[in-house]
Amino acid sequence: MDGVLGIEEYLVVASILFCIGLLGVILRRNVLLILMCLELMLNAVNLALVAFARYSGNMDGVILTFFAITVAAAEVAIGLAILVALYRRRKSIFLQDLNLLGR
Amino acid sequence: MTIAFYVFASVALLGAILAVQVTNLVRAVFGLLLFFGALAGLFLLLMAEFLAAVQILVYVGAVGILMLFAIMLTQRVTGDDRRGGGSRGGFWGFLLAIATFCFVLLPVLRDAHLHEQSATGASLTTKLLGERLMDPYALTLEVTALLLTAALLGAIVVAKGTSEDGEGEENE
Amino acid sequence: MDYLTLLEATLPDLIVVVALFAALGVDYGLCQGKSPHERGRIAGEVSSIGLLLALCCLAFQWMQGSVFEIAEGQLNLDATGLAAKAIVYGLTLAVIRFATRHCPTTHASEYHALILLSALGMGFLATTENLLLAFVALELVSLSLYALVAFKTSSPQSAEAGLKYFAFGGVASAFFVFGVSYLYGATGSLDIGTWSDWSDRSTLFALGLVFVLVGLGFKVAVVPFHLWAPDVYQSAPTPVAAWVASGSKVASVFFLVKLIAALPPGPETATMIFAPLATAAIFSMLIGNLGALRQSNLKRLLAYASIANGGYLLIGLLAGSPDGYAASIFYVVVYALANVGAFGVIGLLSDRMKGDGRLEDFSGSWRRHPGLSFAFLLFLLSSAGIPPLAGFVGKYYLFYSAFDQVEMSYVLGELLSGRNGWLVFLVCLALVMSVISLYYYVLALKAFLVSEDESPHLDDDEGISPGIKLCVFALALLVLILGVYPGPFMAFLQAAF
Repeated sequence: MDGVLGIEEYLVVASILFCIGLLGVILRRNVLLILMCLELMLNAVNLALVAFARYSGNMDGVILTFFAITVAAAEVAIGLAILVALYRRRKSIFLQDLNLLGR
Repeated sequence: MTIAFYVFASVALLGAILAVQVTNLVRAVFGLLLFFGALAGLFLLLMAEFLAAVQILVYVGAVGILMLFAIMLTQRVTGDDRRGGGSRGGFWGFLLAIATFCFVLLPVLRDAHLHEQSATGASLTTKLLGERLMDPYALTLEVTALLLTAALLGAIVVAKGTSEDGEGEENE
Repeated sequence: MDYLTLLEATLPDLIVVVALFAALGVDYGLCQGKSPHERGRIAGEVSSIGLLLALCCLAFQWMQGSVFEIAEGQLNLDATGLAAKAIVYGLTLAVIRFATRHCPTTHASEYHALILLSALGMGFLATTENLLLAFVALELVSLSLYALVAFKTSSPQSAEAGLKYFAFGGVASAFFVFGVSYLYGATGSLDIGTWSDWSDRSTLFALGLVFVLVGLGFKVAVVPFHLWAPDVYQSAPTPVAAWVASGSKVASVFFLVKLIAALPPGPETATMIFAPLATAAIFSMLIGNLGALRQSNLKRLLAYASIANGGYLLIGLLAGSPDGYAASIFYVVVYALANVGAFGVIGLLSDRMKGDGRLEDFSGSWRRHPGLSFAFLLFLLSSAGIPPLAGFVGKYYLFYSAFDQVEMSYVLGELLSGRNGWLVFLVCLALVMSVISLYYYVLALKAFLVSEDESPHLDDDEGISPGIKLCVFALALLVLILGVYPGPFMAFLQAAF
């Protein structure tokens, strides 16, 4: 705590990570990668939350992070289950092969 | 302290970029693991040692392994992502992500009071975390239990699929 | 903290939890040899009994005038909160009844258990004032619904729709929690009840609020977060589509209204989010209504209509007055009743015969199922806003609350500038769009009522138990009653703000 590092450094890192994740979700065509990028976004949020908690001395941010980690893990479970179901039917996890809808 | 921050932050960014950029899925997962680990380091710098441990246990341990399993299940074993590297709607995607980035960064640039805040003393102990979980947030904890039930049920049902060839799944 | 109070406050929810584990337990323990249909019926009965008990418990608490407040604004169960919970559980009961008739897979008890789990999440979301619990409850709703949408694993479309829902929902919840983190950073608290005595309006706060609205906008399916809706409504099992369209929308709107009503007073906060919300409302109405015109599939048509309805109910929020908030809630409740009914009838008529919901598939329903078709007529006319049905009254309240906020002026320039201009424009657009919506609703009804020849996909009466019919007619009756006699309910809602 030498006073050199302010909260904004952490926020900048969290923002960059969040947007990298968002970019990945938008650009990648592999469903598994999209899932990974979602995790990336959620983790970036965790960083911002812990930083806020640290710099305001309020415990709630850490608690929210704790829950966010749990929720993210549950989300991975569901996401992978859907992925497996999809792969079993379509033998592919690429978005461009998913074209049954909208007709 | 500062050096450690910059090291961890750049490792996290590197891992994230790897995870998003690389075409080989297994390598992407390793990039992601790198990112998770570096984030745990950042948590340590923020004196949230319990969260750092949880981060390593849950993400580097469980989620990473789960991802690897999914790759093995769906990609044959090599994990080569032949066609996934290309982008769809690349231009608009970039535009959207950069716009979001600028938005997200606005408070850092504009809110002066953020700069005045400094880290408070080490009061965010694990003991306090446990007490807060039990005292005001007991209900939220219960709802999380329901959430995990839902995830468990949903994941089993969806991944298992139906047995169209008879009732072959009595062993629930 | 007093755990006994917590127990008392969550008693209805606990009953539902017990019911869902009972449904699973009975299925795993006692029903192994039975057919999937039979098992689905038993699980449905157990869940329905649990929901009925929970509703009785809520009614009892309401009559006692109980008010529960759990620390940090986690639960705020006054009369309105109890009513919100009762509405959610009532809708669940209807959906469960529809779900008992036809289970898409052999996992009958899990199907009902997941519906109950999402109902629990919605109940908490509708009554909480704490961002942390809201996040967890929202995720509980979302995760159960992802699984339910992808439930029909024998059909590839269902898994695909589940994936689409999951991908959009995942991004939305990431935005939601990012927004929560900024709000927390700005205010230092997760309890939105503390906002009112907080006056620092930083960019951090504004941005956090916008991101939280993005997360909720996804649930309500307003443009530009609507892309999942048509596919999900079309490919999910029909009762699940009904559930996505009604329950999750009602719960999200309850929370949304609370969020907006809790904003710190002052003109800055109102303008901060006014323009984005108004734009979203305009495009929702346009894309929803114009998109619905082009649909030949009844479920997709209703999906676009629901996007349009998301636009209408934002008008009440934009009006920013207690009347406007009450009108939004009234409208979403009425809309949910009609939609559960409409999807229920669609499911009853076509699910077992593998109809995929094209308009032709329903031709001749009038002869085969006069009662159900009449109920369907009521549901659609209510959504279209035909008096004396509830949808008309809901729209009237919405538009009236918006016009009430317009500061009257005889100078046209003043009337049409700034916030006034937005509100006038929104209401005019909504009126025009309501007229346009008549066209596609009538088109849908034509298939039901006019066509001479009967579609081969039409289901016969078999398996439609009196209980299910009773449920449809009860919904139709509610739509009628709320249309003819909306005063008490509306007054009740207005008293809450």
